[in-house]
Amino acid sequence: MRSALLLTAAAASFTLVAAGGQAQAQSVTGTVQVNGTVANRCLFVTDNVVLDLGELSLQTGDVAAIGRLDQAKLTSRTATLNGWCNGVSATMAVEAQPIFNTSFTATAPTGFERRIDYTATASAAPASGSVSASDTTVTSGGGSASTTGIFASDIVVSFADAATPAGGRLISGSYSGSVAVTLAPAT
Amino acid sequence: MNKTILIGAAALLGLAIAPAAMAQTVTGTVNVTGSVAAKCVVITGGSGGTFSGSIPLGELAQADGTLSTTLSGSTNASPGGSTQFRVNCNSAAPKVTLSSTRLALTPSASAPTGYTGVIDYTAALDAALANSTTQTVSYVTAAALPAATVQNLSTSLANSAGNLTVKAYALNTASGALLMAGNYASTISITIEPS
Repeated sequence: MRSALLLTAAAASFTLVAAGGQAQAQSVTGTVQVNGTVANRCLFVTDNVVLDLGELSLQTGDVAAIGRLDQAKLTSRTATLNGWCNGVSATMAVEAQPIFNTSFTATAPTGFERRIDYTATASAAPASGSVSASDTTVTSGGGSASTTGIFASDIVVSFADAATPAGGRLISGSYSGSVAVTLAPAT
Repeated sequence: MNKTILIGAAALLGLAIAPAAMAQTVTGTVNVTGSVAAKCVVITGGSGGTFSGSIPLGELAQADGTLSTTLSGSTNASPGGSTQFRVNCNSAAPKVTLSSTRLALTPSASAPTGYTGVIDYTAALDAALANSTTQTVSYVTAAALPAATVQNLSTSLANSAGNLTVKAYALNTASGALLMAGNYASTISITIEPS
């Protein structure tokens, strides 16, 4: 009888151990980091515009002025590019090249000109306000870059300060110049 | 002499008979019991109760500045990125809880018109099951993040390597939006309970 009691007590203790184990249910948690990058980038949507200035010399008016540069032919014109930059450090710079007579490449006779200088200004429109960059053809090299930051807009190129070096009459022929607008994603 | 022997014999018999009348048996029973607590344990990708990993998506934009079409067109079958873990659970229908944040520019910055610094996507957990099928638990991010997806698996997790695959796919932004330059990050959170 005593033996039977001891065995029953032993069985009961097994049951208690098992019940204690069930309280240890556990779950697991996981974390996954999803990462990506977007590189600094600028892109022209419209990267090339031809601006035909037409006749460059004055055709009427003061006889002394006829044949000389008609400044309004350049200063009244604009050309519109379109582009964007996605970085906060993006910049825009302009380098303008003089307009030269490409038909007559020899040294111009006294009183005549084959070169037209000007100042070109490019203006972009970030949300924070218009940003411009300029360059004059009077001095070589490009103008200073301006920080545009993030933008997507037209880039309007306008012209000013049109002049020939000595105010002479323009030699006939075809004239050509260029304005390069550079968008740089980061400095 | 004979008498003496007989008496002695009778006495011995008497002694022998008396104990035989009190004989009794005992029966003992031992119940051996045990239990296995419901549990999930990380085998690969972490230890104990936690696991972690990463899904590097790389460059998110295509040449024109908008979201990569490879990423926007990615699916569960062909995700933008994925990573695997092994978790062993000993229950019949483990419960999975899944949520995620949006894939966002870090540090954050306000986006000008036409740009975005936030990408929504689908985070999914593909669980390989013991019956050789796969159950997908998914969560789609949005400007107002929905509640976490909670789903019980239809059967036990497969007892195999890489039985959990976490995926990121179907990335999306506003139509035509240009992605702001920088680093983007999101966190997918997963809890697996033995249930």
